[in-house]
Amino acid sequence: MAREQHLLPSIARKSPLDKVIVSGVYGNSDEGANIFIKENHPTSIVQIEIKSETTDVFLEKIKTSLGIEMSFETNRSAFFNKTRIIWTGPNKWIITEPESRNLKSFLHSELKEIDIALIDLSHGRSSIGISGLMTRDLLSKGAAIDWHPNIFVVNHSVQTTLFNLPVLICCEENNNFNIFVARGFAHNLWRWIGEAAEEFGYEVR
Amino acid sequence: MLYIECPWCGFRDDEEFHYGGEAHIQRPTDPNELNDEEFSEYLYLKSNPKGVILERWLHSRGCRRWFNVLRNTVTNEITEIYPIDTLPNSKEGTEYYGQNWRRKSSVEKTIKPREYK
Ligand SMILES: [Zn+2]
Repeated sequence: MAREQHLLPSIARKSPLDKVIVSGVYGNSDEGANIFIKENHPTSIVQIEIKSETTDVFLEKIKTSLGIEMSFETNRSAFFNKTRIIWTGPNKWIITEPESRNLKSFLHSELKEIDIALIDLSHGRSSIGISGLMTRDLLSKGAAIDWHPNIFVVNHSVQTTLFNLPVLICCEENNNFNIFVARGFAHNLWRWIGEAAEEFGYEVR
Repeated sequence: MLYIECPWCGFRDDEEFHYGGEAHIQRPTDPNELNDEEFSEYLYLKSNPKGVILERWLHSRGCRRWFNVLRNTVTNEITEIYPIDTLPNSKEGTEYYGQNWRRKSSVEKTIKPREYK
């Protein structure tokens, strides 16, 4: 049987931050930047929802198709290579990776025996990466969440509001966070983050 | 400011939630069986107690799930949080549910009692 291709549409994905991002160092950065901001673009983002009866098969399929050993723990994410699965609600996750294939079509063919709902959100969400020494201080200005490294550990994730915008935030490494926001709010969030990062000195990559 | 424990996401600020009004108000199976007075009892009359109340909350900015809360309207203390399709477990909650006037309302007389898990 020929391997399915899972090709992306030929039209390139356009970033909502296309003309907004200007690389450089800004703010109070005489002693170097303490915050690094970048847009992860293009990113595949697929929402997956399962019926609770299919849970064990689902774990197995995620392992065989994506290589990810995940659990049903809430507010958690798991990854393998560049693909990450993030909990967003009971029996509901976001699967994301740097866009290189049609992720939805891939998942659809891999998980077709299970009763699932797949929704491609790649066109509708933006992913903004924040890292650097002062990242947790910056985030604490925008959301009433405990950002302490003992609480918001690596692979922890929350859905909350950041500067009043609904977001999904995932800690990928210590002081390295990935923020998913609705595409239409990406510009607004970008400006908010920039303003909040002024006092620490920040670099746009 | 309330600090509410979502059954899935844990403690969060109340700005992440939406209030869903009084819990356990059952919709009449056949509204035509009710006269106007009885229907308005279902639709408009709320308990509004001073003290314990059972109410619904939605974690709208988080996992987007509904759940029930037992809250004291005087002290704002939340003493029980339980799933949307169940009845309260605590003594306070069970008492409030059983003694609520709605249990004897004409609406609840016309419907089959809701099956809770
Ligand atoms: Zn929640």
